Amino acid sequence: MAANGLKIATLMRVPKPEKLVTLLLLFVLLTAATAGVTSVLTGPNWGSLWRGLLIGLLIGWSLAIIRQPAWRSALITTLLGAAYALLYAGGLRQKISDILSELFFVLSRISTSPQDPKIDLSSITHLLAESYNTTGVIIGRVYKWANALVLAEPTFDPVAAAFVWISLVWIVAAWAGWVAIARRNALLAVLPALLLSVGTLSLVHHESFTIYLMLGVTLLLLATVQHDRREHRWDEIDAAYPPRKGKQVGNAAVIISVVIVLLSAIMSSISIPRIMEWVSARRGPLAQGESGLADSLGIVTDVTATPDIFADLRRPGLPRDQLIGSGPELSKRIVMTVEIEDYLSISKGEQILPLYWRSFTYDNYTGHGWQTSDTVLSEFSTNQRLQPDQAPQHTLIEQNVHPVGKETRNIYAAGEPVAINHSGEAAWRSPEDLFGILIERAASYEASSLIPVVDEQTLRTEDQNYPDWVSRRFLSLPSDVPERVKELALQLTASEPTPYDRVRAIELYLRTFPYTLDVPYPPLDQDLVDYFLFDLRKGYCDYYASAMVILARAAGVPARFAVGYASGIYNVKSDRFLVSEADAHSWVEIYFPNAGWVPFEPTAGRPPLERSIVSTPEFDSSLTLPEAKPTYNLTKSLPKGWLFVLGFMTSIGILGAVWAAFDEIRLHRLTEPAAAAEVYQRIRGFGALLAVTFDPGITPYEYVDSLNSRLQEISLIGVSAEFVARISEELSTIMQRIVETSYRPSEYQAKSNKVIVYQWKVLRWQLGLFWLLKYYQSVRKHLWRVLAKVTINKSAAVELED
Amino acid sequence: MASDVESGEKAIEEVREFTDSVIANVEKVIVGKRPTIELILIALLCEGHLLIEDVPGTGKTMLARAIAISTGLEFKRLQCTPDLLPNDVTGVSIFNQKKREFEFRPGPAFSSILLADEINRATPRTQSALLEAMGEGQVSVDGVTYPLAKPFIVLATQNPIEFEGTFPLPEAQMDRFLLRLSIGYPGIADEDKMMQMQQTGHPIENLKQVVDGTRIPELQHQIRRVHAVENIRQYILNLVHATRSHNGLALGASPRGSLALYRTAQAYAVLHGRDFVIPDDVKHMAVACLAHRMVLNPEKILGGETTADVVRELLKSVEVPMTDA
Repeated sequence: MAANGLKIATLMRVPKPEKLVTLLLLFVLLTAATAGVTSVLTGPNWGSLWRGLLIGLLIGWSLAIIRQPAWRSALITTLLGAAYALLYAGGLRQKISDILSELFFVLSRISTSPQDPKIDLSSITHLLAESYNTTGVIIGRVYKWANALVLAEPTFDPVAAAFVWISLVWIVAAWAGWVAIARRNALLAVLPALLLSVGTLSLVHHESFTIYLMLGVTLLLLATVQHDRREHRWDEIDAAYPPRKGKQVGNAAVIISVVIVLLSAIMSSISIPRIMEWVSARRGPLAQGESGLADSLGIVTDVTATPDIFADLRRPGLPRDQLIGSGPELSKRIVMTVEIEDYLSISKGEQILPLYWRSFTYDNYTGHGWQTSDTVLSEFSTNQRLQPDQAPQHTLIEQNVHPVGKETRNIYAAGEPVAINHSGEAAWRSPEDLFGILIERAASYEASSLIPVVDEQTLRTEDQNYPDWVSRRFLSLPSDVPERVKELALQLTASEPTPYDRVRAIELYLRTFPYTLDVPYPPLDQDLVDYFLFDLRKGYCDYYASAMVILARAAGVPARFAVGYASGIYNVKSDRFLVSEADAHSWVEIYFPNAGWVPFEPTAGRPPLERSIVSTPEFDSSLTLPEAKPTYNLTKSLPKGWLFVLGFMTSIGILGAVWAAFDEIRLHRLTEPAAAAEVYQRIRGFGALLAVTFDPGITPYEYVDSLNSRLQEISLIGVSAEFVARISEELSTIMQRIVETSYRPSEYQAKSNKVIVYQWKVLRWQLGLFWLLKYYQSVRKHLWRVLAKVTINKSAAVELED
Repeated sequence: MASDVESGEKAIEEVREFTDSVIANVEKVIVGKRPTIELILIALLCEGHLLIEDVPGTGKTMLARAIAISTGLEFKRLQCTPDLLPNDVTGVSIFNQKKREFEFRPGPAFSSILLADEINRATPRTQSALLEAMGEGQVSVDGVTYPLAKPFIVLATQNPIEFEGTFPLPEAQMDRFLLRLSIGYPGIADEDKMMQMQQTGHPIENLKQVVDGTRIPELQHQIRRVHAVENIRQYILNLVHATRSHNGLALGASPRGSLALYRTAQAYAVLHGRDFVIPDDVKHMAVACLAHRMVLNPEKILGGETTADVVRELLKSVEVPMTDA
């Protein structure tokens, strides 16, 4: 018990300035390392990484300061790191703050109406159950991801990647903080951070200025830790370490670091790219597995966007001009009819195949619209087979398309076109990836195409084993997509186990936004999707589809933007689909390894694409909508962050009160002599805080004398002498009681009953207050000293001027 | 129980009054030596004897006389020389011609306060006669046993510097003294005050009795009633055992030492108004009580250390117990 008190005392004593400098340098270095790494990452967001870094570093550093053994530090760090990674990667933060605000609400209810407290804990238990489920899902995803990696079929799962990255950063930061203080070895401390940074950057040949920063900071760190080590050794042999030495060492270290960094930047023979090249040369060419590893960690290896032919179609913007007619007006004019051979038998009566007549697909998002990557043109002749005409889970359909009114060159077809009964040109991004087809002018055409026939259950079984051409094109996000968009994606999908469920969650979320054609022109400096998701929150199909593609990609599911016409109305009599101008549409297609490209409909107002007789997943009511009505007036006025802080402080307060109550009960239950011994120990703990030495052979009276004289000394630095005198008196009184209780035979003791405990209860708050005052005074004194130096220099300068 | 507590407290009060009066009185004669006077009174109240190691002229005789006058007890001074015989200490039977029988003429041992000056100059035979009387409280002369006075305290002195022509007390005999102290020179201010006091005459000529010395046996009994809990006894034993196992000491304190420390700590507690012993009491009495009962290792003697230093060192390192800890 005394040992714990003394340990806490060591922590509360202000750490030496050198240790704080070390902490600062470590923080700078780790930030630089992480910044360099995140510049090539698509997955985890910078905020949670940075926070994890800071907290991990502080925890490692604190554990070393209070001299915890290595195994215990490792255990604590790992547990906390796992908890933090789960919290941030899994979007549990929101749930936790909800739980806290519910708790707060319940407490306020109790306090305002104690007679009739309608305590409804069901919402709290519900939230807790959900959090538990989410945790399970996230762990499952990480496990699956790791499994896939081991089986050499790496996949990119942003949540798992975020979890892994946050954990890595945490461990590296905690290691750095702990080793620098406990083992006094700077190089060992920063080694993992440097390895992480250099390793990641070498995977992508990415030069980063942060490397120079890390070099400089490492040198400074070496100097500080060396200095600390030397001081420690001098202390051990009881030699006084010259105080100026620290400053001299610091100055020299800064100069040397700057010189070396400049030299390394200037001299070409030791330039950083060379190091990178050397490192990656050593690692050999990027093997398939490695690039897969890079992909699965979300490291972008090929950030290219190739411009292309089909120029007029690839104009960035929301592609409207490719459609027959123009503008998003709701016109009922029929623009084409589509007849499908044997439609009724294919559709099996009940199951409605999702048939959207697609013309073009886009893979590149520009922030304000869509573009396609480079395409290669190839001519085809009548009925020449363009793509495979059969595939598992697909069925071939023949569609007869009659445009009404204008002639067209575009081909509209559902699914993947296989053959057209005209000749024309097809544009390919890659042998498997078709951009679109143009034929010579024709009044009608027949197109056969392959459409996926899958139900929800089958889609749910799909994994994330995407071919290269898919993951390269359809998972990439431009680097200027705002963080909150990516965060929203993670938030929506973190607790969904399968890719299909994730996509469905996004789809359902977007469908809650009201549909309108009346939207202002998007601002030029803001990302379109960001504008739609957070500011506009309404719009028409182009917005929905763009948002869904981006969100799906951010969630690690390949998606593309599709343009064309929606199904239209099926006229039973004429057995054909009547497609009107108003059906001009854009939507999303999601890639599944077996089912291929499957269309999804995020636009509110359009009927959802039904796939099977199996019921659709329930809308997850716990999804936070930006417009979610606040349940309590309190949360309306407080921003969420403050609520969290408030909740945290309240829980600390509650814990403190509970501990104090338990402690009191414990003290009261002790017999008087045991209570005396206990209080004596606590007073000794307090004395240790004030650096009052304690030999084994000191009697209580002797101790209280030295304690009182120390209090007197301290009162000289500014704590009120009256207050100190009162404390001294109380201490002497309580000590007298302690001595009497301990050394007087119990039969002869006055029946005082718990006087010591009562006295101690009062005294300990006074002692706490005293210590706070003393701390505050010493900090103030320190500040004054620093300020005095500055002003002295200033006044000296002024004098020189005169 | 309550009456017990009350009577206990009353008894303590009585002892305190007694000692305070004596000390106040003696301080009229001896300036600035209150701790020494306390120690002498403690020895008196514990039925023990005192060894005073001091250089000449520090006021040993004056002190003893002052105490004797204050308490109204009989005081005798015995100057030990090498030719002092045991009978000079105990007394002798003389044939009375007129009565035709042997008469016993009591020696200095039959006083209450006996100042045996320079005891290390007496021969071992005489030393042991005195020490025997101290130990047994009676003397046998010619087959007849005569009890000594109650109270009886011997204040033996020796000069720590002089070794020429002395018979140093052996270890076993040192052990019989309850306490060893040294008075020392007064401080400059006190010496000045002393000179001023003795301007016209010696203050001891005007000293009066202030307490009844015959009550001392009763007070001695009261001292024994002071409570010491088990931890205190344990602490005393730990200290004494530490002396026995200390590697700087060839010989540690004996069980007589533990008992002495116990008793004197009780007396000290009473002198400071408590009817129970606290560790501070034990620490205060430890040096005076134990230092003379121990023998240093030869290497330590060469180093200039004394047994008192060893005791002080032990006081720092032996743990002070709390109840039930």
